[in-house]
Amino acid sequence: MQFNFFTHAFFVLLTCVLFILLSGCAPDKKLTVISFKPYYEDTALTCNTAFTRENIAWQVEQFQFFISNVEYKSTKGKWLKWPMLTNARQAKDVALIGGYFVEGCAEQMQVENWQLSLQAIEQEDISKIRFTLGVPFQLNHLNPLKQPSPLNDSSMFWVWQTGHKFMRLELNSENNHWLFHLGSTGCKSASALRAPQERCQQANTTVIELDIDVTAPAIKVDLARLLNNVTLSDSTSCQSAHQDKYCQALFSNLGINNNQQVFRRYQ
Amino acid sequence: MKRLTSTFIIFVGFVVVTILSACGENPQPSAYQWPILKGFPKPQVPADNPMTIEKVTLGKQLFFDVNLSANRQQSCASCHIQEYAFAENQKQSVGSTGEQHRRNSLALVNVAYNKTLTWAHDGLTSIEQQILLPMFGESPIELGITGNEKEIWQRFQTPEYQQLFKQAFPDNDFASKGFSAIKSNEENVIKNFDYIVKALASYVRSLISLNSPFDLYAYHGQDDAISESALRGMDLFFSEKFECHHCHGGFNFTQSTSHEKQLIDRRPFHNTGLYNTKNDKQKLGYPSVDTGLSEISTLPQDDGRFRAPTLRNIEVTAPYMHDGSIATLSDVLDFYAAGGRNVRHGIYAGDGRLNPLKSPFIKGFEMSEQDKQDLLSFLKTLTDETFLSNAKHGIADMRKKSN
Repeated sequence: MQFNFFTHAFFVLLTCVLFILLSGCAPDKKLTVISFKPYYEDTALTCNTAFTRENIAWQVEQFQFFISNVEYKSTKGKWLKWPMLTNARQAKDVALIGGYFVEGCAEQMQVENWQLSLQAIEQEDISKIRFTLGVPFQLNHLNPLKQPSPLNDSSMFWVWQTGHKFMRLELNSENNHWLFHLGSTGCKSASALRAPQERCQQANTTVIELDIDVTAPAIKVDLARLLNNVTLSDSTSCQSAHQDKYCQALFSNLGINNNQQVFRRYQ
Repeated sequence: MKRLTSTFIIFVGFVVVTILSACGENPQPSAYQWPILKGFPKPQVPADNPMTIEKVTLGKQLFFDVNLSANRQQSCASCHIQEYAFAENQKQSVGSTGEQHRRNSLALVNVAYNKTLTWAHDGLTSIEQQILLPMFGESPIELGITGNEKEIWQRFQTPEYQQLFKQAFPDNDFASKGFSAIKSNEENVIKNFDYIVKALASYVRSLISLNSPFDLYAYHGQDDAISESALRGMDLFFSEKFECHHCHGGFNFTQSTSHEKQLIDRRPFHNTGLYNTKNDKQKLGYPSVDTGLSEISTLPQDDGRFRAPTLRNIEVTAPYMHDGSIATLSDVLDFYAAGGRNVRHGIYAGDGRLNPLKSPFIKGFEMSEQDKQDLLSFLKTLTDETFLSNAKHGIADMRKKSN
């Protein structure tokens, strides 16, 4: 009798274990990865692809940007924090997306450089996504040496005073270069190596809100839209100077004080 | 039950004996303490050559020992002199046999943090690999070890070196079989140079300079550590107008920096518009004697691209640039203000300012005399006097060694 009881209990336990194992292997209805796809109009940008503007072929040398504060809109209409995972390109809910298109391009164009890894959320709970292009003020002006990767990447950092380059786009043509470094300006502190106590005059961050296809979540980043109304040449490069008219065109395209068109649902 | 207990006791006894024997005859090398602030990232060290004080000590002896060159004319320290931040004060180096090198001796400052080694090589990522060049290179000959390995190895068969080798490599044959066992095995002589390489690399890695007035200002928060002029110069240095920090950024003042927390790969090399020769058959701007990274990559767009060296202790490492072709720091500032160099005469004539492969950050800028003095004041705050005079990095009987 006792033997039978144990046998019975054993089978119950085994069934439970099997059920747990199987449910773990069930088709995943959760969303954990969103990829970014760099484009120029309808051309996907990959290693050594060029695009033409005003009859000049331009090649992307590098295109990188920080995003932070990812949120999703629940089906109940509420915006909820969507925490990031931590890896070499993501820390403290800040992610560095993108890379180099020329040097070591194959390595740089790896999918993981262009994707956001997030905590798993049920697909059906998500109706929209939004995030900030840039690094939050609280994290933007810290000693980069003591920050985890990617916040310690010195090529994406100006100095304590102005903080990180939120976006870095550099282009080459045969005889010319053009670059855009987006970041905060008008930051007051004792010197370049001291952090501002108060927020910068021009934070130059922007919140991007998008519909998202939860079954194939991807965001198209269209450089043609970013460069709208900008003539590319050395003299039109922008380092986020507040009064610079070329910077103002770029800010406007990115939706800083405006609606942006650069980031769109990929379909 | 009784049997189980006795098995347990035997097992415990076995464990205790094992632990004790590990603490026995061969003392393990001492753990290495990096001379860096708490929270500062540590350099990355190859897994097969962990840092120990003993290896650094042996490496230091070897670094200053002329017995490492075939003709006993030079040591590593001949071209890497401490008072010049382990660089030297001549345009290009001369090897032990008198052969002229084409490049300026690089300062050995925080090399442990370098992403890549030498002036222009994107594949040389460990000091152990790099050290083979001055040791065994034949074009040009520096130490000239190639072909003289056996004779040179014999020179280190002294009781002093035996002791140092044993302490540095306690797990190797030096310790168990004695130095003579190694000596007698002639086929292994070249292999034995691996010990020399590892010790030299450990010493070079130990040359850390993070104690300048700039560090006091930046990382210790001492607002009065640098002068008003230096503060103005620092703001210019980090400004978008001067663009210096785009290539000389980060705590080591070069973007080509790597450390334990740096997980993203960056290997930047730049063409600074130093040359734009017209007499080259390939129509590329840099003189064929040294085209930088393109020699390694074979890519024409890498013509004239060199690694930005650290600016720490830059005050004492004149002359400047990969070929030592700019004499003073003041001239270097003028060079960048001009956005490159117009070579007016001679075989390298051509306007480097117009070099199509020049970095977009070198556009030139207006620099007042005051700006220039301020920038110079700032650059001088990167001089770490304790590094330049630290007796720990040198050896007392250097004179004796070179006689």
